[in-house]
Amino acid sequence: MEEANGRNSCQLSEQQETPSEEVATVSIPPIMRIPREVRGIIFNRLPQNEIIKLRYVCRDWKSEVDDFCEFSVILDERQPYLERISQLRIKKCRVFHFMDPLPINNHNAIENDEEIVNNMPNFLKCPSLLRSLKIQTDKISPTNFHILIKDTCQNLREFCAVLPLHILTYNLYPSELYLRFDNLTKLRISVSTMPNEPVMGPPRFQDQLFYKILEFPMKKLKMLAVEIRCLGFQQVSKFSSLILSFIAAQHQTIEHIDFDMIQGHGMPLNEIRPLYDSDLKKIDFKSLKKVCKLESIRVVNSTAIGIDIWSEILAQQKALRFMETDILPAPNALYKQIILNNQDTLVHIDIGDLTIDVDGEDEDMKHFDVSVFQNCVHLRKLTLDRNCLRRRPPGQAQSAELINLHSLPEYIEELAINYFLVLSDELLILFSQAGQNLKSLTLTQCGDSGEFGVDGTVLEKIISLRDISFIEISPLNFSLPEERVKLNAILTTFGYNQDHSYFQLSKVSHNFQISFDDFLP
Amino acid sequence: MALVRVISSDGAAFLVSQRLAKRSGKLKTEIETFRKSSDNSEAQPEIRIVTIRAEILRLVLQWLQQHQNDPVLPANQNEQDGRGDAEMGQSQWDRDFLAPMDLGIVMELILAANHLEVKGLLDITCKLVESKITGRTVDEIRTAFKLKSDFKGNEEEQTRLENRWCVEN
Repeated sequence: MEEANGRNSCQLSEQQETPSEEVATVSIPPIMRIPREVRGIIFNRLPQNEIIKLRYVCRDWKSEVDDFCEFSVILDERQPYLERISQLRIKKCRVFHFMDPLPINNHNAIENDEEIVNNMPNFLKCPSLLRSLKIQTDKISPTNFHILIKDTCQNLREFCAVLPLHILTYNLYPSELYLRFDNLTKLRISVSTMPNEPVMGPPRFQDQLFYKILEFPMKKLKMLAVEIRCLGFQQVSKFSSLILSFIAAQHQTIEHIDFDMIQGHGMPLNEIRPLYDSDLKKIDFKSLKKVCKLESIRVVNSTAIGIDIWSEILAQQKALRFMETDILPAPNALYKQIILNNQDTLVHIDIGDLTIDVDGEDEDMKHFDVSVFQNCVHLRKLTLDRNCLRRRPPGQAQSAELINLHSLPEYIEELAINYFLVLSDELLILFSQAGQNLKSLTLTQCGDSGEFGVDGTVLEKIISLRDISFIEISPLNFSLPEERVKLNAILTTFGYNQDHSYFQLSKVSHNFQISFDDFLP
Repeated sequence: MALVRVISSDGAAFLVSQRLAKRSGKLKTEIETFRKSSDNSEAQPEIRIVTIRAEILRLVLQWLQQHQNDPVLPANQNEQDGRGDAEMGQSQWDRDFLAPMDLGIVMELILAANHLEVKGLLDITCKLVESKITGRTVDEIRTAFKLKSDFKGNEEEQTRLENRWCVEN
């Protein structure tokens, strides 16, 4: 019994142990003694250029590569390989150009839109294998867009898509089509409703592809990145409500959010407005409150619409590593609370204040105490920005002053301060203490007269920092005669004219910019 | 210590601790199945592996013994990004373990590791095969694996045309 069972593998080993040269040459080579599926597994672990080479080895290997190996491809119909690509087993696909119509399966059947759906040609040989689909172009026809996603969405792990107007408003089959992305972990969409040419009225919102994609919760979604370019308050409100509802539905899994909203024209910049009531009603605030396990969040929302809701999401977090926002007025209480809540984990902080005025009333708003960052022991990058001053007519804007700069945590590598007044003496202390590990420093509009900003003594200190490889200072402070002499000495050393108002130094090795993507798994 | 008898295709029995055996996904399932079907909870499970002969089974168990304190790697590696995680765990011990083996034994080990669901062992053995492919020319690969080209007529030229999508991208 045991003998019989063992026969197969014993036989193999006898063959291989045979010492005779003659027999060895006619015996099966060891690599061919394992099932072709197992060879397929081994082959599929190799990088693509190595796999493709194996097709030249022999007929068996060629067919095994074709049957078991999966590829990453670029889809570009301007290249002559489209047909070959459609025959491959594809796990990752990036689309560059895909406009030409594919042959439809059954011409006679096409009578209405539903028939078109039913007779859509298949493009991919094995749509269920596709894990990552990136459509990073508007050079794709709506039909081809649907052909790509209709059979693949269920198994996709990663989906990136640009949705320009012609794709967004494509409404081939309104209610019959369901797109379910049950296995998706990363979703990145970029939407633009800004037409190149004027269009006849806006599309019905609920029929838009964007809505279709977000219609069902995605059970495994960890990362959501949306970039919205739209026109008018109504659209901003609708899109915001849609995204917030979607985030609420993902509260159990979502860890990374990137929300980037820009409105096309003329919206007041210093006025916070809520969403429309009808849009507010659609948001499940109870679930939204449960979104509290974010690792990174980027909220750039220049429209100032619905930013109170986003602030609340920020305020719920306790373990943020990455935070970039322009919706929080820098020196206010909520902002400080968010930093304190996450001080054990934060690595990257970038805040640009969107709107709120510091004119007059509140004395606190004129000073921003940097010591709030003191206990952020992991902090590597800090950007403090007061965008609002740029957006306002001169005279109306008042700069706030940064204080206690020396209390920054000492491992900061990148520091950027824009539109805050900074005392020269504080800068000197900073560069002698905490700032010694700086690799990158940007100071924009931090004062150019009196006791503020970068004078000769300060610049001298900056360029002698051990690890510094990127410096950008604008403007410099020439107001004291002896400081001016020092500044001009440095400027001429680096090839600038005398009294040049800004200083920039960039070493070749400058390659340490941290971004949202660095925090993704 | 709870033990389990693992019997090879050619009838050799190996007595190993259940803790060790359970580091193989397949043996773990078998032991649990045995548990459920046996009335006596003290009974010693006996598992026959009809596809693996003694010499190979010994090697697998030896490898498991050496790596008994490693974290167990998830079996369904392809779900994530399969490549790259084989980098870890290739110790000097592993290299010495594989060094004396000829390709025939390595192939049997791959089959055994695959069948018994021992991911770490599958990784290092596959890696050994991969190392004979990576960076080599097609002729070198044929020599390394004792294979001959059996393409006829313009088949090879045809293959070259089909591969253009990848080579030129």
